[in-house]
Amino acid sequence: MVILRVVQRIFDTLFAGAMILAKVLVVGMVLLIFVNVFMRYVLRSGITWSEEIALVMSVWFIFIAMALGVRKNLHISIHLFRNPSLLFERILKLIQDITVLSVGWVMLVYGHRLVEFTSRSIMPATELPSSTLYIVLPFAAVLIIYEGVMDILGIETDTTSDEEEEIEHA
Amino acid sequence: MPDPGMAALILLGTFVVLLILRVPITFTLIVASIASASYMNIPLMAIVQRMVQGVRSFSLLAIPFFILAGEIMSKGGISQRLIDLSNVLVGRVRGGLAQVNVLASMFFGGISGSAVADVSSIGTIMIPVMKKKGYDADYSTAVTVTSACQGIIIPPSHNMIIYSLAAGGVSVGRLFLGGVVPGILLGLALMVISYIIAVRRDYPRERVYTFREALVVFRDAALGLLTAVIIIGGVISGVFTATESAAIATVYAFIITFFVYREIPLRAMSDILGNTLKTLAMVMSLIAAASAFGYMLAFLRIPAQATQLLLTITENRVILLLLINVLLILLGMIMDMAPLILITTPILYPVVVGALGMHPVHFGIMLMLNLGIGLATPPVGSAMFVGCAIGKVSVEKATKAMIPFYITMVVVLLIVTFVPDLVMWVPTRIMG
Repeated sequence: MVILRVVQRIFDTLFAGAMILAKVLVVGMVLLIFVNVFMRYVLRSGITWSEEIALVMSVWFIFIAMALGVRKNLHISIHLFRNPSLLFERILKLIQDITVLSVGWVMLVYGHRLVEFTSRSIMPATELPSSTLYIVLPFAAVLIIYEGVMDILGIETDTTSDEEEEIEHA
Repeated sequence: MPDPGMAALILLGTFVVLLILRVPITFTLIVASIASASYMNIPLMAIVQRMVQGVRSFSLLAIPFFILAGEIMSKGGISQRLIDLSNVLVGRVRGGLAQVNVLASMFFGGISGSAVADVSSIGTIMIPVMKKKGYDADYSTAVTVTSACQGIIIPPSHNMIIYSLAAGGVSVGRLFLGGVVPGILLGLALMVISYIIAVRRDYPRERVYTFREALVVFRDAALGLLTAVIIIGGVISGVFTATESAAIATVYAFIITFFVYREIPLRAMSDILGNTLKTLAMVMSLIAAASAFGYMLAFLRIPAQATQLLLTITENRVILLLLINVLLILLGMIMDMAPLILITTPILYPVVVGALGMHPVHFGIMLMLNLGIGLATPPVGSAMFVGCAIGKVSVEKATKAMIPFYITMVVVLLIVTFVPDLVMWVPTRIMG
């Protein structure tokens, strides 16, 4: 039980960090593109690496957001069954968890391979390794797998709820 | 040698079955692609790479920016100003508040492309006021929800960018301009039908504003509406790309909200970002998932087969377009907008644009209109659910009240489908 609690604490921190990172990435992308336009038209010289970095930020953002979406149940699904029985509800939940876990697994294994595969090549403008783009995949995958496992174990992970969510529920 | 037909069956079968079993759409798309790729012995690394490459696109960045700009504006008091502006313009007619509701949604559509944001920000102000002034709750909800769906067609609209990507790079500027006439047409049609009902039920008029009052209202709202001008002007003039103008609009929205309107404190920005993140988590991961799915669709030549299949039913253009419209409305009733654009575009595009010769921009607007109607219909209509929650009416009651509005929307859809000039006139005039 102690180990579980430690693991939970570690992942809570990771998710909190991911949330902040996601917000920073959105703001960062806006500012980067804005400043680039400003420099291009006013100072007559744009930032050469702006597009490349903006795209890395965007890919990172999207996969982190995917993981956050699993934790906060943001991904939309179709609800065709009204008031399913408790057993059926459990089966649906299990299928959902297994699906999420398999996506996490594929992202982890093949994301990791992609990182290895691309670590020797570099991106043209920034000369960063191409794997910078893919490194977010295993990270997001670990978060997704954690959520999937906890859900199967029936452990509620997202205990933080901001005011807005409460209002929406009301 | 694995059989491509079997692989197609695995792809579509897994997708549909998991979807019915309530698995989130993003994950059904990925798992279906993985299953089908495994069967075809395609390395799974290619699928994962497709997901990344599908979202590694500069024009895609416009989507988070548009959503963020819309979120900042709608939280920062723009809704009330747009409502005031509409009140000055149309409040004095019979059932004035209904007219105001529709017109405010048209303006709001020029800032945010989200129907749900429209319902929740215009609706929370308008529905209670309408009820207090004697309008029926179901009518108020129906007007709010149906008019919110214009926002998707009136530029700018992030859904049009999703379509532009899914269709392989249709000009965003042309799509924006293509939405102008159909968007206004839909708005006017909804104003007419709400007026007819208002006269029958003898709903009240609003007071007339003095010139001085009107001027103040105008100035206040104009600052906000300039966001739309920046975005659309930037895109069609070619001075900025869609992404750049969206970034500029976001910075502009931020300045107007926090330093000019000053209705919310700067720390509200964290909540706004959190809210934007919620929408984006869903939309953007869907796009990543749909790129993997789209790759498998193309690899298995499913779009070409779908075209053939549809053409075996009939080669009559009118009937085919009607069929496609019915199909899209039905799908729109059970599924949300973004996933449908991503899934149906690669399949229907070859039929409608390739075989039937419809212009890609025209098809895009037709698609938006169809799926917009879907947002206002049960059983899965996100705009409708939000509206019913705000209006405190049951979905059944609201649906009944919406019937005349649905008919209006479908009539507009048919006009837009069969009169291409309505869509194409503005983009051709301005962009050649």
